Amino acid sequence: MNAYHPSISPRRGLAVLAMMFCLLPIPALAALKIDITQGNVEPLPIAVLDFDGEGSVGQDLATVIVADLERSGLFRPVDRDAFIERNIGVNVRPRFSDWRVINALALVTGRAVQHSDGRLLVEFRLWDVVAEEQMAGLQFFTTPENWRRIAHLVADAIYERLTGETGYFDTRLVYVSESGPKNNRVKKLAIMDQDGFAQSELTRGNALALTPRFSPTAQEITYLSFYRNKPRVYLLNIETGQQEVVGDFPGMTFAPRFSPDGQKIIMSLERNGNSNIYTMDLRTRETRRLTSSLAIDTAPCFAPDGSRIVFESDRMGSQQLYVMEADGSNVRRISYGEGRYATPVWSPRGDLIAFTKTLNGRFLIGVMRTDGSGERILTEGYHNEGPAWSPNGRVIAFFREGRGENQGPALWTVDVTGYNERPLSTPGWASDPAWSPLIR
Amino acid sequence: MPVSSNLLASIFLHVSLALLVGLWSPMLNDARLNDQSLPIEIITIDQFTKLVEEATMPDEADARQEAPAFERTTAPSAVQPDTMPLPDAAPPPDKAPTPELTQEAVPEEPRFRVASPVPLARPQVKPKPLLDIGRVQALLNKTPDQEVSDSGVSKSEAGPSAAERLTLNEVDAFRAQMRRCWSPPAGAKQAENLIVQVRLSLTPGGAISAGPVVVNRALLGDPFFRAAAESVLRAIRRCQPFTMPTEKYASWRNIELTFDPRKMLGG
Repeated sequence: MNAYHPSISPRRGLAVLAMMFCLLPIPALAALKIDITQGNVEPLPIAVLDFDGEGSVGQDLATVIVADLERSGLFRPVDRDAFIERNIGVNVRPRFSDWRVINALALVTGRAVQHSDGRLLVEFRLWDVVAEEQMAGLQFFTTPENWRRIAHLVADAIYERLTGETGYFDTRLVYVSESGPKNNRVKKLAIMDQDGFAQSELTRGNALALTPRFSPTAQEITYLSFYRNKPRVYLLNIETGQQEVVGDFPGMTFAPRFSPDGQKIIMSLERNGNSNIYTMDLRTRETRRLTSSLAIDTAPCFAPDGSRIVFESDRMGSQQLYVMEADGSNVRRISYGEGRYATPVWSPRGDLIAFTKTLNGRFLIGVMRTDGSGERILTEGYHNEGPAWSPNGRVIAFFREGRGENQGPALWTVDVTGYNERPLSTPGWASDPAWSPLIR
Repeated sequence: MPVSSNLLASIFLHVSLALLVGLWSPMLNDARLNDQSLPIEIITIDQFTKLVEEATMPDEADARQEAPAFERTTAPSAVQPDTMPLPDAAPPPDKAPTPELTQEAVPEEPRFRVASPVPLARPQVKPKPLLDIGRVQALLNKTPDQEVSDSGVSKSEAGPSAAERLTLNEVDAFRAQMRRCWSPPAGAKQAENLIVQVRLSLTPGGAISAGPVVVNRALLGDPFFRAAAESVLRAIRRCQPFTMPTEKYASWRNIELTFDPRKMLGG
């Protein structure tokens, strides 16, 4: 068949076509063609059996997996009380009819055993109940105390196989933990797993900490600290607790973010009332100025391929979003809707830009395509701010604050479709979430 | 005259093409249906191990997807503190952020490498079919002798007579049945790439007798498309048997469905 090529002459093409048909078996009737353009968007019903294993670990694993999948909004875990078949070994084909009866479309079986070297072996299989075939089967070794991470990794593998998207359950969020009265808030950095477990604090709260952003490549964050009342951009290594100032600039630096390769920080530098956008290479310490307007240019964020930068600016009067090339050239405005636009964040998937929009005294979180078209508002209210993408570009975390004097901010997530809005539980008030890349 | 002989040759070739396409395209469709048994023809390592597993040890199978084993390395060494002023730092969290973790696939036993029920190579990458049916189909779809009506229903010329054709109401009833079962991939990137075409044959009772088979399966290497295609296959299998007018069985025995999520997803 290598004779078939688009550039061959029509006559020879026809001959080749005829030859190909001659290779095919003999026929029957025509097929009726129907387009299906309407469906019923609903979460996929999935049954997760408690994993086999000694003690409670098997049930604990299933519980975390079910919670992850359910929270994504894309899955509807089937109530385990409905299960007919309850004890299936991980190496046995399930009785699929028993699972179809309870309307499960996918089934997860697994086991967790202590290995001879003390490590925990966790293995699972994902079954397509309708097609009656295995979709995935994996096993993991870990130290027993890491079982929660294994549960997240299993949930990620299931999510990836069934949606085609990379998972995001084995991730963490850094946020600003807030306490105290509104005019004298203590703001510390804190970190937790994406499901709200494993909370701990990263700074003590002596200096105000704001706008933490994760490195896309390392367990490192950059943030703004008011150390000795001077706002400057810092780097913090999460594992060691070590910190350093980013660059030695004469003015105030703020709104930092990493470049997609983790090698640069992009931020704003304010001098004499106007601010411009700079990058600093973390290895060479070389700084580069990208904008030079008399306006306030801030909140820069790279596209995931590093080729472009989105930022906010009031250069044409009101606060709007602009995109420029990575070298600062070819600046063009992309937001033209009513209201003011701020805090643009490029999706890790590359297709959308999330933003905060102020309209009629309300703060909305929305997304638009990277050329500014297709604006959609995902959530609105008195005060919503600080969108942060999950590493797969599917979920946006943000914070929401009520109107009252004694109210504080709280973290929420919403699916990119605008559905599945949920609170993220934190021990106290929380703002400005930053999502880690996958931990692996 | 040279012109007229060229014209004659051209007419002859066009007629030949029309005949070939008109007569052979349904044949092609049906032949493929009859030949298919697996819902998806891409051979993944999962499926391979499953087939091997069924062939060798039905109850004790322990074949696994060969996941790339990765070792968790310890955290990269931290940036050394310099003399710059440091804001307050709390001690690092108790829980080691990147704990040691390995993901390992079960090494395949030699016995699993023999006695496969179907002669399959062990593909590391998607095998390239010798004859790409999807491309032939694409070629056929560009030919002018297929009429597509506004309702999205089309027939090739070799189709059933007018009396046997489904009415628009009957087609809508079928769509309504599918709508209840199909959950389109909402929120997926680039919905325009997620149009899934499948072909299947039905019994007079409306149950699946062959297929469903993904027609545009050249895209199955893309995980988004694969997930979308699998959701379509699940929907069809779940939805059967379909309620259809028995007296018109000839017209709906073979069906080709195009699942297009763009309208729903605003793509």
